[in-house]
Amino acid sequence: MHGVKPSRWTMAYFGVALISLLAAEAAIAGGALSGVGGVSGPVALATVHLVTLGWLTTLMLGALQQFAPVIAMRTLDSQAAALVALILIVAGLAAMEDGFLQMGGGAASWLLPAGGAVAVAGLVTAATNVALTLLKARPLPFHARFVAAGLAFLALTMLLGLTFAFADAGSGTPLADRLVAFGLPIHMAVGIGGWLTLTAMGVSYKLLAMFTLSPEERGRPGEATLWLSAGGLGLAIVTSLVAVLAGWQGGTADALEVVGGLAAATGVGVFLWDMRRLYRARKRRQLELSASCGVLALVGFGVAAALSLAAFLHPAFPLVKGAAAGMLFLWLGGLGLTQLYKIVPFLTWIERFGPRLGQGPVPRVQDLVAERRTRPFFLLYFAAAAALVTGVATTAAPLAEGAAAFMFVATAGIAMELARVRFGQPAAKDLDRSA
Amino acid sequence: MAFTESAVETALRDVFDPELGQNIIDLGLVYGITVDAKTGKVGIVMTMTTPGCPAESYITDGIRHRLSIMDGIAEVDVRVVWSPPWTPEMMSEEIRGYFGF
Repeated sequence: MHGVKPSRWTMAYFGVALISLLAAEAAIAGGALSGVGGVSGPVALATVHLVTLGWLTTLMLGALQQFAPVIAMRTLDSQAAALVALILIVAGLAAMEDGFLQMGGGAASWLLPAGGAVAVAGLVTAATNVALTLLKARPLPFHARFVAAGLAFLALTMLLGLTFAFADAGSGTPLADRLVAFGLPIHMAVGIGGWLTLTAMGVSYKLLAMFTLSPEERGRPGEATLWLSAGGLGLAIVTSLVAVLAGWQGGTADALEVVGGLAAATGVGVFLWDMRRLYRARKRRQLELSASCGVLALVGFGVAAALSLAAFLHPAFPLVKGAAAGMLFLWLGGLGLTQLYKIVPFLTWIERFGPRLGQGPVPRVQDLVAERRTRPFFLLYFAAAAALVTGVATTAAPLAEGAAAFMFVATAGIAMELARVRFGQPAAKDLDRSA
Repeated sequence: MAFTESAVETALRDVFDPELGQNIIDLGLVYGITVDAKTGKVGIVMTMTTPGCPAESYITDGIRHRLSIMDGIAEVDVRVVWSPPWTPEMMSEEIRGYFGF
């Protein structure tokens, strides 16, 4: 085995993801969440899917195309499939956005299910590509089992989403209509909690241990995190689905949902405690920006998880919205942006400078970034995201919209720094090392 | 012209791990160097900081490039092993100090 080749299309996935995030932040700043229909209105739904599908899912799939080969010690199963998947996801998302914006308009109602079907085809292609790569590493290592659980939840998320889209277009069944009426919280929990969060937890365990020089072996706390969070969430979701579809109500169903939710919350608690243990055991005392700001994402995860648990036990719509915003922007978005600041320079180094190693002056990965210049953008992002969550949870629309504007500025700043890494030239002073 | 293990080791300090930004000798990634001055063959046994590292082929190619320009070296064999696994404690004292432990 001679190392693994970097995924050819990961950077393109990251580009689509960042553009989607910027568009979503601009839309929220312009009142997308408080416009006609509120958070269930067409513009809000279009914006939410820009965040969940355009930004986070595309980012995660792009990262997994790099991450799965590292775990499996095998090159990605198919580079061509990665490109086809991206094209389908972008085309499907574009049609879905149009479909959401024309919801209820009659003539264009086919756009949403058609776009959803195309996007799902792309997601299935990308997920299968990652899964086939991981299967070469059987028995699945610790980190890969989080990803495998995440991919299973992604399949359920897609199934539910497609059901909603076809039902909205008038081709639903009575069961589908019940899902549309009561299943939105399940769709959110499966997508945000199952697919995105479980996968992010597995990726965090691997990447943050590597980048901080901490032990990757997590022992019983790591196993407890996986089983409690994935098992608990699975129990709560299956119970909720059966309750909605079969009309199962009563003490047993409620009890199973609560047990599942509490188990998942305990799993998150163990994960955060274990992450604290990981950081404290690190050999790299002077943290790089990606790892130091990664702490803010983990703190955000704690806040968002607490809000989610409160919303689960005492459902109140603002609390549910605040919990979702916390998960999407503080935890997943924050983690995504911070890790992009490590992965993009690393992949850029591999492509541009790796082949020159040993043949002359070559910069290090650290020479490609300007941490001092970028740090304020990350601090602004997390402060603004916290303000956004507060605004959403307290139904203070001006606060949420103002915060989104600052998030846009911060994200644009980080994106410009990444573009400079990608396309700029390192300073001459950084080229005086190596042969 | 004869070359020595010491000369090879010095040359390998020009090859670095891109993520950690330090040379592979001081990081403790090189487990063994063998030289045969008569045949011009050099053997390197080394590891990476993590299995599956995407930089592996660039580092091993970098070693070949760097050593191939040394007088007397005709062949470079780089073998990557995973046992014993690399740990940060294998770094030189100076690099450990740089990272703060």
